Amino acid sequence: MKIKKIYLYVTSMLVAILLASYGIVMSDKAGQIKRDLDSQYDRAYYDLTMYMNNLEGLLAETIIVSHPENTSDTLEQIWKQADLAEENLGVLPAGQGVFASTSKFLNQLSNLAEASKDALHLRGDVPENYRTELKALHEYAMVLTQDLEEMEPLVSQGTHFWDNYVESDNSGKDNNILSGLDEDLKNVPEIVYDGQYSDHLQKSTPKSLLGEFISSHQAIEFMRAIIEDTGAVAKEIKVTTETEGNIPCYSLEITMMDGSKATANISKQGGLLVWYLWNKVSTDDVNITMATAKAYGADFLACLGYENMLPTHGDTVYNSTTGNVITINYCYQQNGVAIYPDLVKLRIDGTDGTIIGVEASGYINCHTNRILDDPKLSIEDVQKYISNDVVINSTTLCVIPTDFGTEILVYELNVKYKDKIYLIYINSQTGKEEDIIIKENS
Amino acid sequence: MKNTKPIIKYFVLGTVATLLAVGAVLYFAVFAGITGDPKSQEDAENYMGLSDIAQGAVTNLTAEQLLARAINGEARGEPYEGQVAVGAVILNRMASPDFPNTMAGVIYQPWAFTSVHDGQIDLPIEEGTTVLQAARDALNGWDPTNGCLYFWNPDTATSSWIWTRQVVVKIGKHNFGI
Repeated sequence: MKIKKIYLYVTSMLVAILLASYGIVMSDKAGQIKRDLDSQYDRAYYDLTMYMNNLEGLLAETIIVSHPENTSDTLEQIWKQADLAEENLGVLPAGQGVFASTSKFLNQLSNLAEASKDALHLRGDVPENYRTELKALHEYAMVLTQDLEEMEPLVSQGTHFWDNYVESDNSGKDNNILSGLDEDLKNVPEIVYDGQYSDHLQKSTPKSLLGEFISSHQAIEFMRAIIEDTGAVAKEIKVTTETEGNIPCYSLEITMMDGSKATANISKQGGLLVWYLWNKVSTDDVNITMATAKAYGADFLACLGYENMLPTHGDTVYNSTTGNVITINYCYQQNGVAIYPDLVKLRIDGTDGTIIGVEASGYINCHTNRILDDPKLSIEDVQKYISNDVVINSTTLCVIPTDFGTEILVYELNVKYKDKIYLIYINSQTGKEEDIIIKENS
Repeated sequence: MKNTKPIIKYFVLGTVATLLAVGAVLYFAVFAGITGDPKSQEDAENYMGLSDIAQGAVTNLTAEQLLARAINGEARGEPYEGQVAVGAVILNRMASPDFPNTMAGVIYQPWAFTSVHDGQIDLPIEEGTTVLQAARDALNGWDPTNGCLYFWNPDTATSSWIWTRQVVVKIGKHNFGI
């Protein structure tokens, strides 16, 4: 009996020692990992503060000094450092949406500096309205820098500062210093310039959304006709909800004959199909050729009422466990000029050519009757900009969108270099290279 | 005296076992801690589902895989449209000035996505699921949310703040909002 008791005693001691030592090691390890993580937050905070300090000075410089060469260098530094500041901001554990205004401020600052530099190069000075915007942002850079510097004693106290932010929902906490930072940037005035984050772009209206408003009953009837054109048969179609946003729509659910479901949005105004998605499962190999798929797609677009649509680059074939899907982009052609913003994308089932997806928001947002300027440069003029090392396959005129909602008439040069096809877009008025794309499946 | 021998025996055995066990624990914890979780390159590629792609033109394979893993972590049980919608929200955030500008920046922004916090983003993409196709459709421009920047599950959302967002559309278990 005694031996058994001692045996039990020793065993439980052993287990206790084991557990305790395991616990000590683990908690020590957890502590180490936490310190490492806190150090990364600290680093991001200190870098962010340094970049904000620099930005405040650089912005003041653009206001004080007007020498074009200095200004160009300063604007480039603002562009770069605002980007770096934004990257560090994204590391801080603030919770989703908490830094929305700060992030927007930094993105716009970087973007405005880039646009100002472009304008400076193009016309020799920074436009007056851009200077006004830079002055306005300088005021807020001072506020943010000061807020960040006031945080420093808290951050440098040790690692406990970030402990306040270890839960996803820290938004409602008292004395939330991080959301306080953002609060001070909520009143930044609207900034308008030629860049992708300009405020005027946030409110663009679709250009081809015209005509009468339709009822939900009409939306169902339109959808029924569209499904017939896709090559599928619908058992039931119903409106599930109405969505707001850029293009107000009826959301529809389509039950196919095999019981699978597809979904689509039809615009309330004009009754246009904005998008359609059917995750049809076909596990067979691709049976139809790309040429056949393109022809099916063109026929379908004609049924929808689209005219002058031609397939562009970017068609893809995926063979995967989820089915064989061919995606083809079609764009509108005006007098032989490809209008790339007016895009409709189709997903086509590679086994039988059924249309299983439509994405027409590009066309609906951008399509309008355009007046195209005559190009100032000829094909021969722009081909001179291409190195003699490459073979030029073709040169065509087309319209491409810019980041800031405008469009430019460019030459598209299809060139071959080291077994890859590159598409180079050269401005037909100025000769400036606007974009370059590597075409992967060449 | 007869009884002391086994006690000593157990004591000696016990001490040796304790030392061995503590040693093993220390070795495992510390050594594994230093080297990290060993994952071979092959394992990493399999769990990212790279072998799923037989052919096709993919402009940015890494981005597609990352987006597919995020969709897998957030919405693998959702209808197809809901999976594309989650992908679209991530892409809409990249284009919005209010959020980081890169895919990794958006996905790994602290507290932005539950699946990053609880590790579900690292779950392997199972064969036969549609998340990769959903990632491709989202990258190709399909956006069932009409430009939403947020989504949440009304049954499990722990953030009270998220309810200040305006709901644009409900797909499956998720609310999508701006």
